[in-house]
Amino acid sequence: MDQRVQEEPATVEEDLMASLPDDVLADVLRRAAPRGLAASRCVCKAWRALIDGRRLLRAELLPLSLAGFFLNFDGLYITEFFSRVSGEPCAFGKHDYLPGPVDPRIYCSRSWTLDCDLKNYLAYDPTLSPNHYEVFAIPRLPYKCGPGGFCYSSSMGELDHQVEQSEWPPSRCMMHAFSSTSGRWEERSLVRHGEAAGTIADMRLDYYMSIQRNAVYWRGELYVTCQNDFVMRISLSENKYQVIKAPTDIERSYPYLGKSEKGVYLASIERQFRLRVWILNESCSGKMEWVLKHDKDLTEWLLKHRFDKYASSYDPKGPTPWISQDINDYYFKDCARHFRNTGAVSVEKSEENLETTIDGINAWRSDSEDENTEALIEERFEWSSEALVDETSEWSSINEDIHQYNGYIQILGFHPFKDIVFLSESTGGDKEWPII
Amino acid sequence: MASAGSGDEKAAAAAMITLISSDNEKFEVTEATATLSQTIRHMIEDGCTDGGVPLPNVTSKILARVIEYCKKHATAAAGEEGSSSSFSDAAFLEVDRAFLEELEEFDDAFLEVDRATLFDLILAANYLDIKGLLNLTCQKVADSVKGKTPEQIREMYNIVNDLTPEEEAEIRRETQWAFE
Repeated sequence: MDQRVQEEPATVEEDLMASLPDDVLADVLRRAAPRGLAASRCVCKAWRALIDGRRLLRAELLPLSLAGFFLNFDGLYITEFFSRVSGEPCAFGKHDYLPGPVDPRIYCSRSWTLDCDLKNYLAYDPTLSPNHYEVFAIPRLPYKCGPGGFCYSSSMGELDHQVEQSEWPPSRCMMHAFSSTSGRWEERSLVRHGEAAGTIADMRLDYYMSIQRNAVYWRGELYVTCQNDFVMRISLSENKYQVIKAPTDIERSYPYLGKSEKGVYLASIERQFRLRVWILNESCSGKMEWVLKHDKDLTEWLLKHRFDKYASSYDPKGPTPWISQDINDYYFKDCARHFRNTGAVSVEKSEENLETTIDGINAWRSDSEDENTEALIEERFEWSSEALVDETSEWSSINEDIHQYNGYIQILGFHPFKDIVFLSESTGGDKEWPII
Repeated sequence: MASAGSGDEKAAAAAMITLISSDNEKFEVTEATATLSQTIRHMIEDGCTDGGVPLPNVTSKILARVIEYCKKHATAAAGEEGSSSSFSDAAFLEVDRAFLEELEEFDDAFLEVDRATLFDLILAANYLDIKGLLNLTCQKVADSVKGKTPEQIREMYNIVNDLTPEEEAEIRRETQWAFE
């Protein structure tokens, strides 16, 4: 088959590479640039196995370009894909490929049983294993209003005292995990290394328990934000996990966990306008801690740009706009039909207008009522720190009182390989805020 | 090798170690030169170098080259510290520029060897645990795959392609950016 011309040296050399022990060959290949390493992966089976097995081709060093990113909005079920307008087929944020939910929703230890809420988190890195992913169902304890809370009642949701005082998460944590290889949900028993985050009673005071928090999958570890803002770091291959406590001075603000240039990041908006970003330091042996990287009061910047007042209109001559598919709009129509069929939600007769007849669901929809579901969002800045010195947009006097400011800041996500965090404002404008 | 002489003389009073190659050739070197090899350093620390250190994995041809490397680099370390007792990265940082350049030139010339010798040097550096030499030689091989296609790499090193066409297509798809 191979019609290669015989240009090889007269004396046939032995396969020199094969004479190197694996460790040494790995040492050699590790020094090759990503492109050379990718080509080496295609040389023979042994090389591919070595490069993959030792993860020499580091995904974070690859010459990537950002096509877009997924983002979750509070109250919307499906992840939206936010990307530049292009003719390319768009990624789809509706991850409905899993077989039904895990059943039953019960969490047990040796001595007690708890009714938990489960949230699914995806562990998938296409650059490491493109054909395999896992989904972990992480238990969430039911919320209990503490004394002084507006809905406090001493009897509500009270558990046995001994259970309330048990450690959370437990030293041996049973979890459901879905494996794409087996196609099934399986039980995984994870052993905790290090301290627990607190007691069950502590965790139950977290008001945000019902919200799907962020997770990050990085270098074979799944990081999930849990109740009371602690992060669970699950080592998939070793069946163990570790608790990373929230930064000690963080105000309860439901922080955002993400991955960017230097690994795992945590960002929070506190007291409405204070942006803080931490990076997880995993260097010291086994002990993990959040190192404050950025602390900035956005008040002045926001007042300067007054996006709330001058919510600018989309300029078709400007740079390529970014759009989100607004897939939730479609989903809720489907959802409405589904509910109608199952009778879970009562629907009024009007078949043509399903989405406006379902209480609650309608409230979640974006305010775009038209059928053209692409919400255009202006790309205001280039993605670089230069955005900070952008002075071209209209701005009003900084002397204006921040109390006049109507905006509300939320974190959308991190740029996957630049130190940039994306923020959104409730007024509709999107902006990006470089961390450095 | 004459250029490496002055440092050796200064250390002449220091203990000498005899290294014995696989083909039974004996090489006498200073302790400062020999201890660039972590393997030999540990043997000296354990006091088991009397009567020579047999190195059954290293031929005399390769051992001579390795010693040439160690002498030059041990001189660099000794010349800087004024003593031959230790060799560290920190010491290297302090060495003046001219000397570093000379050392770099030495390294470049040192690597001008045929492929088989280069691989033997890697194996020896790995066995003797000589960090600098291992870095140098591994980097040389890594540089050789730069800009090459998988076919060219296979040809260069006589590697048999045992991947099926499907597997190969799959790998290329996974890292398409590298093949564009």
